[in-house]
Amino acid sequence: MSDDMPKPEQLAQISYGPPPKNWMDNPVKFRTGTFNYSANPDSARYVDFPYPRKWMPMEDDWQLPENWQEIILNGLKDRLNKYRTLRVFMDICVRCGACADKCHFFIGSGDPKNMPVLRAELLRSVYRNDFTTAGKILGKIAGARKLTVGVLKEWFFYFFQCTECRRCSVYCPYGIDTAEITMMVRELLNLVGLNIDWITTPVANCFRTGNHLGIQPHGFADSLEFAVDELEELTGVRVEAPINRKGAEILFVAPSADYFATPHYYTLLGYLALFHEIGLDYTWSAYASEGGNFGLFHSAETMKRLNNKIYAEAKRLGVKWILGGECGHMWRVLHQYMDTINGPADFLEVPKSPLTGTVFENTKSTKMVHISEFTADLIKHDKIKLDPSRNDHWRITYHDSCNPARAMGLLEEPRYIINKTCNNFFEMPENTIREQTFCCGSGSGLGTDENLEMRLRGGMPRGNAARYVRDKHGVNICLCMCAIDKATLPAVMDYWAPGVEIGGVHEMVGNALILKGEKERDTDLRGTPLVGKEGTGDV
Amino acid sequence: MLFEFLRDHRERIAAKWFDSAVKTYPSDSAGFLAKQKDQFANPVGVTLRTATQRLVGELCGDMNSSVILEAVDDLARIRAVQDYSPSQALALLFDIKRIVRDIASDILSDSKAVDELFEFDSRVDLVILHAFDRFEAKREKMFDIRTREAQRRVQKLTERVVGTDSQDDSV
Repeated sequence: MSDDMPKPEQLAQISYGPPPKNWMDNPVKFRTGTFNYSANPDSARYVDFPYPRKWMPMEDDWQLPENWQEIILNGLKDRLNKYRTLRVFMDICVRCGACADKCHFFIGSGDPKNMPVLRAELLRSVYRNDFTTAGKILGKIAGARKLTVGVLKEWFFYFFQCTECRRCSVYCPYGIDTAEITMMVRELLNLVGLNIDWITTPVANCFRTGNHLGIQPHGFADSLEFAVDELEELTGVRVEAPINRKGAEILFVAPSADYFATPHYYTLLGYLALFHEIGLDYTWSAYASEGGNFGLFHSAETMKRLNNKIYAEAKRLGVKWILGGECGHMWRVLHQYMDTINGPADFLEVPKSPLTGTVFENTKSTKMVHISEFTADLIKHDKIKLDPSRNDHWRITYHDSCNPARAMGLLEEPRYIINKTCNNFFEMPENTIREQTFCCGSGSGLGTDENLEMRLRGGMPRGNAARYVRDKHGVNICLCMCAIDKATLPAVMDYWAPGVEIGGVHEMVGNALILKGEKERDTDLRGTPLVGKEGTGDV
Repeated sequence: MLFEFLRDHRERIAAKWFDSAVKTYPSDSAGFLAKQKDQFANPVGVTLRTATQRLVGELCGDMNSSVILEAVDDLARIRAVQDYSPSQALALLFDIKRIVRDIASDILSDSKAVDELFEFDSRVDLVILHAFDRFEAKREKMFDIRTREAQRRVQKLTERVVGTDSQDDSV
């Protein structure tokens, strides 16, 4: 046995607890699996992001520009002057702790720097040091610290860990929106070229071809055609999927994952079946073929550039109003920022359902209606025939996707649709749904495979609640209304609640919808046999 | 004799074990993990508490394997994604040996109790070996999940290009 090998009694005394240090003296460690890789410089160049270069977070030298501190502090000064909210958020927090235990990353990891109050403190400490008299004089005693490379690395690690879900904001007595603090820090990091690839490359792709994978218009058309063929095989009904059709009444915009990823794709089949059945006068757009606005995760300017595509297309195609699919952050941008960054959309008409005559007064300014509002209204007015028993093989729960729920207040519409299209619906526990919903742990551009370990920490509270209804009610599918949820919750469920699949609300609509002229339906839109039809179809 | 003593002090032992498990987290978080009793607001703390209680029950009881496997599976699932090395992640399980020696120190002068202590240690070792297996299985699961996620992300595109035969959603 070598001399440095501890003796058994020494081993027994080893403390595996973390050393008790002040949070300021605890430098960040980039452990593989817990962070996102840096932006591809070609993508960054394409959209004119500053200082594009090859670097990686786990490397010591991040190749920062020489005057990086000056750039960031000037950037912070500009933003403090531009956004009153930022200055208020910096000054007003009284550290009451109401938010501290509400973040899914804190709950799943136990890392105190994921307490929203402490995460915000990472920026506040620098703000105090350079922008407040007390901080300048008293320094650390007043909670101030200098902006160093270590602080910058800490910012990168933790602000690309916050998913901007805004659960913490629900509990803040002062209404501090921690997501906006994250957005500000990400803007500052961008000024010195510190971006992640799963934001920058989708932004560049969306800007160039219209969607986050960079699929070109003919590929997009091909994808929709493929879905039309598959829907015909499943239902016996041939539908149309018009693209770039000028003069249509409505422009429909969905997240791009709906037409190339699963389980999103089954929701796309649901939209196509529904629009056909009600004879909707609508069109897709090849250029606005992505509702998801990855610019929201980067900067206000990038968010504005991407959001503008939707309105530019609405104008070019001459539609009256816009209908939007099951997307998450598209709706945050639409509902909370669009009106001031690109609106009001005066060239469009206030949306009115051609089937029911309902005027969507709530969208008077943006002219864009969420599909769950539209469909709930159709069902309420008895405009479609539904057979909920076609969803009897599913025992369903519903995950309120953060942005439609917390940013838009869409809490009842999806539940109304689910209850009308399905027979077996079970809610997750009260403190995990509606306004208090837990994030999937992968929003705001963090849904990469290299970041999986961190995502599973963040997804734990949601997975834990799903596991509970799985065990109590036999739930086997969790529905949601966000493309990021659909992309990343399958991983969360595989790990925390195996046996629970992920689906979309309009997938259930498509299953239950009785189409005129349809063949006898043996399967749902996934090709899964319906109850009582097992072994009868050519599955 | 020792086992009877341990059964009588089961709750105290589980509480001490839980305390030591919680202390493997930063001190700013340990309070929350220990105090918040709602299983949805604090799944980590509640799972640690429940799993340690169940394991103590079995270690000084009849070592029901399904209860033990379920408890170590719950623990491993959490610790395998948190910021620990494998040894750090499972070290909390070893601590039960120290806790039992502290609590039962007065009766450990008796040779029969010492014999039973050897038996108890063997039981703990068995639990730890199971936990190691479960921990490793969770890490492997993560790699499996990464692969499946990559497939799903472009599944419909791939199907169009290479056909459905190459895609197997049940992988």
